[in-house]
Amino acid sequence: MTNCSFCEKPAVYVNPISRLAYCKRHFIEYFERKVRRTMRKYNMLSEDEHIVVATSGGKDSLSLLHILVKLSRKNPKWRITAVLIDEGIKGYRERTVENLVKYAEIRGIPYVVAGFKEYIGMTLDDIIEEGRRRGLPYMPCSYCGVFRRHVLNQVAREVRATVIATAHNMDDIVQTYLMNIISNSWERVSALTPVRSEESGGFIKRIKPFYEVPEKESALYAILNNLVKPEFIQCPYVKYNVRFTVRRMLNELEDKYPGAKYGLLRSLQAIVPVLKGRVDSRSRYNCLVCDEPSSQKVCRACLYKMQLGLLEAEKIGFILDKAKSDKALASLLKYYSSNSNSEKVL
Amino acid sequence: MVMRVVVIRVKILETNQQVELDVKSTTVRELLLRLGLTLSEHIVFKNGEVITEDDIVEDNSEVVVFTVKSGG
Repeated sequence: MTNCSFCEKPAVYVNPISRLAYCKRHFIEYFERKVRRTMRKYNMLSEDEHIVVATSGGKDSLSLLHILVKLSRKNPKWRITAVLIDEGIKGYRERTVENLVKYAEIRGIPYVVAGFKEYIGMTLDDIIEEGRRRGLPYMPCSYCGVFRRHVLNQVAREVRATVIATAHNMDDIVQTYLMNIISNSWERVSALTPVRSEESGGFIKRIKPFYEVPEKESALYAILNNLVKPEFIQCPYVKYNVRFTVRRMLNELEDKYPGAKYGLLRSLQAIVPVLKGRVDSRSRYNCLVCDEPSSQKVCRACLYKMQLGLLEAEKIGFILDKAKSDKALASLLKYYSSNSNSEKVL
Repeated sequence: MVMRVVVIRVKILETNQQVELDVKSTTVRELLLRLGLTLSEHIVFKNGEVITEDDIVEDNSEVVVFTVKSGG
């Protein structure tokens, strides 16, 4: 039996780097202290905020919701709304929705469940089928990521949030970092910061309070607080995901060389200021169709919708009309139409 | 030769597998290694309680291995 380094009770966690052991009580204290410190260090929240917590109902997001709800007791001017994006993945999402609803209802926390079906026009399952039928070249996770972000922004604006908190943990961040190095996407690397805010374009500030938290710690926090049951629920589309392989590789590296993931996080933090001003990561436009901030004149979500036949005819007419006198827009639309076998989309 | 009848039973939630290991005692770390599972992705339970990778699992015990990775 391993004992806690602080009180001799049975340990539930040994930090692989410091080798300190923590019992349940001391682990929870350690975890919350780390998250509070991260939030302070990066100036994530002010005294008066309406925080939208992007909650999937999984371990990370319920841990985030739990700790923010706990902290809000000491910050009376914080309002919290949990937002769950229901992509419509049969046999998967229903189960995590239940976790959130149960959690929020017991504690009286306002929550919104926003479906792809109502906001995009189709469930993710149907989008993937339609994309395949039309010969579109995208992986399930591409649609999901783009549309999820789009719907989350929309809902956050509808509820008048001042900030969106997401539960991306250190593992997520370093995996994305490595994936973007592999694909030579430095503008995406420069966006991997703990806080994202933009003065213009109605972009709502985004924060990642778990930026320095390993996935295992946030999972353990969820389990020790009874937020989720130790059962394995996996998205059926995950096998199509590059992240799947990168994650495995990084965890094997971490086991051999404890601290490797922290090292990558530090490497990311060192490169971001160097990239500043050299790669263009800021959204310069507001999408002509939906008005969301975008790096192109029409945002990715609207381009996907167009290719899937989910954009209304008058909106397509409007952008085609604009494209007549706008070469950049015309070539963007051409690119997106030549990316599919269905040129009839346009 | 004496036949050993006591083993460590491991339930792996991710793959829904039940594995029996014929070892007298082992640390959780070695156990995961033998099963080809990484330390950073797994939490191990014994009798419903979380145990650490430094803990020792003995003959005739049952452990549950929970994979921490996010859904997708």
